[in-house]
Amino acid sequence: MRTLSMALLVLTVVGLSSGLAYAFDQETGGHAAQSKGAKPEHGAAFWVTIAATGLSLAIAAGLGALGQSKANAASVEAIARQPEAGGRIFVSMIIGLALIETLVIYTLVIAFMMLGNVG
Amino acid sequence: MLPGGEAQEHGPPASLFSGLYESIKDTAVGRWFGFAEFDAAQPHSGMYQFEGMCFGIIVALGLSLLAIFATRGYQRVPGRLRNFLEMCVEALRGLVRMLMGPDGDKHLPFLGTLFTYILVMNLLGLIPLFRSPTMALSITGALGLTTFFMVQYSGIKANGIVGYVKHLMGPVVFLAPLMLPIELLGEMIKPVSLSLRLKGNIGGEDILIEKLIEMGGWIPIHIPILLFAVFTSFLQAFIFTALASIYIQIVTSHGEEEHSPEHH
Repeated sequence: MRTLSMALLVLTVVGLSSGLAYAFDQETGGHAAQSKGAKPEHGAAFWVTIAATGLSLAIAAGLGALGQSKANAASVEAIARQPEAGGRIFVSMIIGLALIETLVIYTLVIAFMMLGNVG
Repeated sequence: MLPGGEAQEHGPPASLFSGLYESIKDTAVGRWFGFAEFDAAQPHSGMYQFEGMCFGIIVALGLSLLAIFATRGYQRVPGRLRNFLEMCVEALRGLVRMLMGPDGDKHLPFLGTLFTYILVMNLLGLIPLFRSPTMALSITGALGLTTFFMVQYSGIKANGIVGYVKHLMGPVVFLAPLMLPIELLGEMIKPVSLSLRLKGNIGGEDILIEKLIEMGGWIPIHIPILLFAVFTSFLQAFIFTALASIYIQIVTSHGEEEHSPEHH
């Protein structure tokens, strides 16, 4: 029980310290960037890029979730049918889920690239 | 960059090597590294690449020193550190045997090191003032290329160069002009998919944590995602190792018709 409380203490300190770091940074340096000047003119390509990024990620996430739900459902049914093969089925399910998730991650990487070039 | 307020772009939190990156970014050394091309593709990517390289070297040196220090000398009854490391090696051996069958011990050094290295690098980004090297495409690309060369080397060593080309030509000989480009493309896409999967997962997780810290301010709303990121770090290291072992198994166990479906 003592190691658990120690672990929770360390986790709280770690979690709070990053928030503290950002808070102090905002007080000293962040507001200096606020007076940067007028907003730049955004053409049509800017808004189309933003819309395309959001839409592509939404479609990828939705279809990826559908595929992963089918994989999950099949594997849970197989484990219920034969519980002693549960370990092997679980490993296959994890590998299958990660492979489906890869396609969603490809879309995320392209979205980061599009957001980087949007201005 | 994004519509909204001017002071919205706070940038990623600094790490141990951020000062070093800022000082070499505009010099000739920084231009030789080529951080500008990375920055053009994804914001702050140049900093991630440089910090990733530094932390990657540190992790490699740290793990090597740990291994050397823990295994020197003979201990009749293993001490605590050596016992713990032997437990880790046993667990990795069980994992590799489960994925590759009983003759997986030949590839245990490579796959075990791959798993440990990727796991430590993934977990490193969750500590304040550190950054995950695996969110940089240079690190994950290097891991993917290393795995690719290891798979090809294992295939050539197990089958001979003629047997390896015959494996690429597929089961039926006169379909070879069709199968050879498809198989070659399949082999080429493997390091790309491995590296992009690892980079996208860990990079996306870390950028999500950064945005949550930025949104939270004083309130640490990113703590549940931190806990989930520990799980996904293990998961991504396991997936990389599992896929590498499956690729090695495909090319080495060509004798038995256990051609498992192609993973891309």
